Amino acid sequence: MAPRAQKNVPTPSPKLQRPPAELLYAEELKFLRDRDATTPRPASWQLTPRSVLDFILGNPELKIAAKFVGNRSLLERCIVALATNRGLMLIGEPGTAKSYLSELLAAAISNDSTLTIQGSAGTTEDAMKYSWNYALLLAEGPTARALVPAPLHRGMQQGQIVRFEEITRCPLEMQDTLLSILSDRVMAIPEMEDDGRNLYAQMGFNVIATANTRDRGVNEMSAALKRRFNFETIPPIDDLRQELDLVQRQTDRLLAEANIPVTLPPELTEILVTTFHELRTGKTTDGKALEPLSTVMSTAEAVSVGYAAGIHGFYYNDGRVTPEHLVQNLLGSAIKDSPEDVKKLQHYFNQVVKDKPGERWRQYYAARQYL
Amino acid sequence: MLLGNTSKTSPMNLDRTLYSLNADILFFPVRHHSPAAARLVQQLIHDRQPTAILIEGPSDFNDRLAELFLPHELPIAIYSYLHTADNIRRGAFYPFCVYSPEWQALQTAHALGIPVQFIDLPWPDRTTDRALENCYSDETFKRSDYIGTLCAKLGVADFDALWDTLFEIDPALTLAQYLERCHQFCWHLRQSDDDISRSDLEREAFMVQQIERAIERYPSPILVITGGFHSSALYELLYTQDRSSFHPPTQSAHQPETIASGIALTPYTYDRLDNLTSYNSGMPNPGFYHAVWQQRTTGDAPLAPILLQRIAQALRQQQQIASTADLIAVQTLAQGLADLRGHAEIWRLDLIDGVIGGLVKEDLGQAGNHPFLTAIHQVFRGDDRGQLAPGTPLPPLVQDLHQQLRQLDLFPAPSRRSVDLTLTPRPDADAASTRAAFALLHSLRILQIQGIQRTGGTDFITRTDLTEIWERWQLHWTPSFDSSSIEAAIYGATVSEATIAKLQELAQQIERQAEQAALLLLDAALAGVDRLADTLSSQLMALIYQEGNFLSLARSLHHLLYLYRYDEVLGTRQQEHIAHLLAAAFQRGLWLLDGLGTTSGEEEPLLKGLANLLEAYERSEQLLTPYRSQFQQILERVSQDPQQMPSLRGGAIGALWILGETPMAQILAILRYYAQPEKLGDFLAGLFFMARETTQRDSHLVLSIDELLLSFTDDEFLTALPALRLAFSYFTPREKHNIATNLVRTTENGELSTGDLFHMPWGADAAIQAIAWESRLFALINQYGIRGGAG
Repeated sequence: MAPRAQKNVPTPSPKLQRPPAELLYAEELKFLRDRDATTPRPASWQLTPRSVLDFILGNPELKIAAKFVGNRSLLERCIVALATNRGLMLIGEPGTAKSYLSELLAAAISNDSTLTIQGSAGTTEDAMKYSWNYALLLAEGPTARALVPAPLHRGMQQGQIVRFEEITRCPLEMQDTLLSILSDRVMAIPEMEDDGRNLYAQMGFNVIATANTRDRGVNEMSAALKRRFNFETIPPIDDLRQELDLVQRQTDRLLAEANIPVTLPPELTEILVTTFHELRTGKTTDGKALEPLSTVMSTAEAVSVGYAAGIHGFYYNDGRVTPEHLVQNLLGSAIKDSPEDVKKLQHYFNQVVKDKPGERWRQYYAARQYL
Repeated sequence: MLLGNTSKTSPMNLDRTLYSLNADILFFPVRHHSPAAARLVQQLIHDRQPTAILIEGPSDFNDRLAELFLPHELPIAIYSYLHTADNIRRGAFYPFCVYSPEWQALQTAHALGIPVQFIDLPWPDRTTDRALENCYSDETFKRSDYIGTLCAKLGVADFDALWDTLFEIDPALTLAQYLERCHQFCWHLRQSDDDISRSDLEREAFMVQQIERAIERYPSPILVITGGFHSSALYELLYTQDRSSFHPPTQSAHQPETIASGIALTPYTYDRLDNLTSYNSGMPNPGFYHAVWQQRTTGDAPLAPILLQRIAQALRQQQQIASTADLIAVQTLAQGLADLRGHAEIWRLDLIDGVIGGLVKEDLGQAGNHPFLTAIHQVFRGDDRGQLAPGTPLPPLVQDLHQQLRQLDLFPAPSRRSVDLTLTPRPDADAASTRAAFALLHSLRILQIQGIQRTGGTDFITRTDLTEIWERWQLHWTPSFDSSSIEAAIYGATVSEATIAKLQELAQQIERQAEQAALLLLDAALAGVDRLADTLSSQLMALIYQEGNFLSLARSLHHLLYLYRYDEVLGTRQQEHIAHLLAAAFQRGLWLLDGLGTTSGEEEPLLKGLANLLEAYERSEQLLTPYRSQFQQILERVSQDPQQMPSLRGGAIGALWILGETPMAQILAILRYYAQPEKLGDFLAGLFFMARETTQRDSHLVLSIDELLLSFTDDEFLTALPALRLAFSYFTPREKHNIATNLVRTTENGELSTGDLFHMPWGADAAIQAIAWESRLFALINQYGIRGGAG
C-alpha cells in the first residue's frame, strides 16, 4: 500500500489541501501537552483524558476553540472507552462528523491521525495488518526489514490509535480480522521466526471504527466483533442555534474558498437550518408533529445546500441569494432519489412553511413550485 | 474553589455567620428530596440538639403533625386544596420520600422529643393562580442564569448534574462544608435571579414572623429548615432593621370566595414524582436517590454494583440479555467516567453512560429510546407506592368521592342496587344532576373503583342506537370499594384530577393507535372531563400523528366527529380541544390516504375510511376548509392512480363528485375507461358507496351504465355480474326501484314501461324451480367439498 504521512512531518506546508488535525492544531496540542506534563494518564497517551476533552470541545479559558459540536457526556464516553480494553465504534447517519471526530480523537490521544484503514469492498488483510517487500523477502527471507507494516501493525507496535473508516463496507471476513487483535491484543505473523512471530500491542493501542447506519449498517456485523466495541451513536446536532452557527460558518468558508464573494444571508441560513431540523426531527419548532423524511437531513447536507445556493445566486442572480435558490437546491443536493420524500417535502411546504411569519418565509413558500 | 473565589471578589458578601454552626438561629438550606441534605440535617439535629425545629411546610397542618408520625409507607404527600365560588378546584402537594430532609428532620425531632413546626404560608393564602402545584419543586433553583454559567464552568449538563456534583456525590462532605457551600451557592443564585415572585416575598415575610414568634417562645438554638433559596433572605429579614423589602401577605379583595378548602395526607408514588415536569419538577430519579440514601445510611457495599444488579434484573425481565462480560464492561466504563468527571463514586449519569457505551450496540435513533435505557430508567425511577398507616384520616380523593356520591345519592350499600340514568329524550329528574351522576360513575369506572359497574345502556362506541341515551349501573358495597378508592388516591386528590391522571397513564400505555386515543377521549367525555390536561392532549395528538394505519385512523376520525359534531349529551360539541384533535386526525388521514400505496382486499373498510374522511369534511367544513385543496388533490391522485383498486378509485371519484369538483362529463369519461367487464362492477361499487344519493338523482350516469352493459357480450356480462350485484346492493329496494324507474323512463325506444318492472313474464313456479335447482346444486357441491370461499 502507499506509504502514509510519517508521524513527524516537519511543519504544515501551506500547500497541503487538507492538513491532518495534528498539524492543523499543532500549537494547541503542544500547549496541552506542556500543561499536562507529568499528570497521570493512560499509558502512551499524549494528553490526559481531561485535556482531550478540552481539545475537542474547546475551553474558552485556555483559548482553545471548539472543534466538534456535541454532547459532552457522549465525548466523555468515547474517551473513556478508548482507555479501556474495548474498541470504539462511532455510528450514525452520514454527515454527522463521525470521521472528523475519530480524527480529532486520534490526533489528541496519539498525536497522529494518519493510521487509517479505509474500509471498502476491496479492503484486504494486507491493507490492514502487513504485507511484504517481495524483493527483500526473496533476498533476506521474512525479516523485520522485509515486512511492510499496515496501520494495525504500526498502531500495535507504537501504542497508537488506529482508525478504521466505514468498517461495515468491508467483507465480514475482513472485519473479523480484528477479533483476536482486539481481544488478545496480539497479531500473529506466522512467516516470521521465533520472537517476531507474535506482535504484542503496546499500551495505548486501540481502534476507532466508524460506520454509517444508512448503507449496510451494523446489523450484519458479527456478534463476536460487536461485543469487542463500545458503540456510540453520533446524533445530528440537537440545538438549533448551534447548528445555525455551524452551517453559517461552514457555508461562508466554502464560498470564500471557492473565491465567491457572497455570504449566505443569516435569514436564509435560518430558513435552511430550520427546514432541515424540522424535517429531521419530525417536529416543528412550535411542537407540531411531522412525518420525518427518509433522506438524511444532516448538517453536512444543509451546508452543501447553502453552498450550492450561494454559487447559484452569485453566478445567475447578480450575487443575490434568494429563498428560491434554497428550494431549487434542496431537491438536487438533499433529496436525491426518493419520490416519497419529495411528496413529504411538498406536504411540509403546504402544512408548515405556509404558516411561518415573515417575508423570507413567504418567498420560500412561493418557491415551492420548483419541487 | 469556584464559589469561594466569586464571593471574595463580589462587592456584596454573604455574612459568614449565616453558616456558622454555633449561631443562635441555625439556617439549614435544602434542596427538597436531597439525600445529602437529609443525612446532614439529621446529624445537625443530633449534634446541636436545637430547642425547636421550624420547617418550610404548610402551617395549616401544624395541629395535625401527629399524623405524620404514624407508620406510613412512603412516599406520601400533604395535599392542600381549595374550591372557590367560581367553581375552580385547585390544589398543591408537599411530597415526602424517606430521603427528604424535611421528613428526616420531622422524624428525628419526634424521636428526640424536640418541638417541631411548619412555618410556611398556608397554600390557599398564597398569591398564585396555578391549578396544581408541587410546593417542593426546584423552580426557584432552575430559573436563574447563574445555573447555566456554573454548569458550563464545571462541565456538567444541567442543574441536576450540578447539584449532584456539588452536594450529593462526595460521601465525605461534612456538615460545615455543606452549610458553607450550599449557602454560598443559593446566595449567588438569588443575587442573579431577577424574577423573585411576589408570592416568594410574601411567604418569606410570613416565615420570618413565625421564626420571631418561635424566638420569643424557645431559647436558642433554633433550627430553621427551608429551601436554600429562602435561607439567606430569611436571615437578612430577621437581622436587619430595614424592612423595606418586607412584604407580608395581604388579603387581596379580588379573590373569589372559597367554598371549601382542606389539607390532608395522601399516598403518593415515585412514578408521579418522576413524571413531574416544568415548574412542578423536582429531583428526578427517586429510585436512584432512595438507593443512595439506603446505602449511605446503612453503610452497605458500594452503590454501583447494587444498582447494576437491579438493572440486569430489569433487563432480564424484559427478555434482554446482558452477559456477565457486558456488565463488567459497563462497570469499567462507568468507573472510568466517574474518574474523568472527578466523581468520588460511580454516579447516576456514569451508570447511564456506562450502559449506553457498553451495552447498546445499535443506532439509538432520533428519540434515543432503547430497551436497555428503559430498564435503567425504570430502576432509577423506582416503583415505590405510598400507603397511609391505618388510623390516618381518609385521603382527599376518598373524601371527595364519598361526598360526591352522597350528594347524588349514589353511595353503594352492602345490598346490590341498580340505578338507571336517562339523559335523552327526557332526563330523569333534572338534567344537571343526571349528567353529574353519569360523569361521576364513569370516572369511578375509569379509576377502577370496585363495586361500581355498568351493566347496560347505550353503546357509545358503535353508536348503533342513539334514540335514547340511558345507562344502568349496579352499585354494591364491599370492602374492596374502600380499598380500591384509597388505592386510587395516588392518582390525585379530587375525582376529576385523578381521572385525568389515570387517563394519562392509560394513554402512555398505548402505542401508535389513533383509535385507542379517540376512545380514551370518549372516556374522558363520558367522565365529564371538559378540559384536557395539556399532557393528555398532546399524548392523544402524538398518538394520532404516529398512527400509520389508515383504517384505524379513519375509525378514530369517526369517533372524533361524533364528539365534535353530533354529541348531544356529553357536552363535547364544538369544543376546542376536540376541534384540534379532529383537524389533526383529518390531516393525518389525508396523509395516510395519499401514501396508501397499492392495496388489495379490505375494500369495504377502505371505502368506509374514505367515507369517514368525506363525512368529517362535510360536517365540519368550517374547521377543515383550509385543507380543501389538499383533500381534492389527494382524491384526484387516488382516482388517477392506475395501480389502485378500481373500487377505491371509484370511491375517490364519488367523493370528488360530492365535493362538486368533478363535472359529469369527466365522470362519464372515467366510466368508459372502466368499461372492462372485470372492473366495472368494482368501480361502480366504490362510486355508489360514496355518492349513493347523488347517483340516484342523475340519470346520465345510469344511462351510460346501461349503454355499457348493452354493449357487453353474454360472456362479458356474466363476468361483470357478481361485482355489479355487489355494487347495487348498497341501494335499498326503494332506491333500486327509483333507479329502474328512471332508466325505464329515459329509454329511447320505449319498449319497456314502468309497469313492466312489477310484472315479470315468469310466474312463481319458475322461481320455485330455480330455487330448488340451486339448492340441489349447492348440496352437490357441498357433498364433494368443493365449495370455495366462506361457504
